[in-house]
Amino acid sequence: MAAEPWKLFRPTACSVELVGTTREEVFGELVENFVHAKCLAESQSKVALKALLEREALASTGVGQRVAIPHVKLPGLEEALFSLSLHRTGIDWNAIDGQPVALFFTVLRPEKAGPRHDPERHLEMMRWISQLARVADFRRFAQAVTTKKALVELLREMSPS
Amino acid sequence: MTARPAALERRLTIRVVNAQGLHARPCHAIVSKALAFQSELQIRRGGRAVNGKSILELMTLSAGPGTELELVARGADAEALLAALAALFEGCFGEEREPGN
Repeated sequence: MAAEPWKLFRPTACSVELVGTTREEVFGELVENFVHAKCLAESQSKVALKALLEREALASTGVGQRVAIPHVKLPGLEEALFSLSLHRTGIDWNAIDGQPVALFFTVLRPEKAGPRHDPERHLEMMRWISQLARVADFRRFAQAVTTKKALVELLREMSPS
Repeated sequence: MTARPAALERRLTIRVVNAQGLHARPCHAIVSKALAFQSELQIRRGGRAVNGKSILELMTLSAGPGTELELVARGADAEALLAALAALFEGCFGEEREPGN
């Protein structure tokens, strides 16, 4: 992989303090953080929110063990955007194992391949995320961090090779 | 005293035919289906084997369209489990079929 995967997570797009109590509120926070990090245009936030809600309606993105991986295509994006966010108390997400979700790996990706988006590499990136999320220590540490910087630092430290 | 019968094992080689491959939603469909059965499920790609009842494990296979997978079910309802999964794969998880597959 060209860039190290953890470098694609900007601390400003991440959060250790999601507080939403509904899916819509949580997605709202996740999208707002991408806008705040200046990787998503404000004008695209409504479309992003709608895409995330529609995807979630097909089947829960809660993959078990308190992790969810919402992942949608978004027209107009040139490169994929990634964030990791923590909901400290956890939120009911209709996850496969019935557990509340505390860790959200959110992925917004371009509709088409382009100079800054290689679908093959993207698949590798998704694999990297699922490998990391399987690691029990990672999940435990991620739920204990107190800053966004520490969250991204943890991604670096625990990167699967 | 009668010997305990060996656990029933059934195997099926199957090809991923939906255009998007095994991304999160098809993995969710496989796991939700598999959880309704008692049998254990292992899914193998090449030399790697993962638990077919874990979405995260399945996602690490990165199985794109055209990939061949071996499904191994062990338990009393192994056969029914594989039949249900074969139908899911063949139905492309409700998605488009990859041309040529």
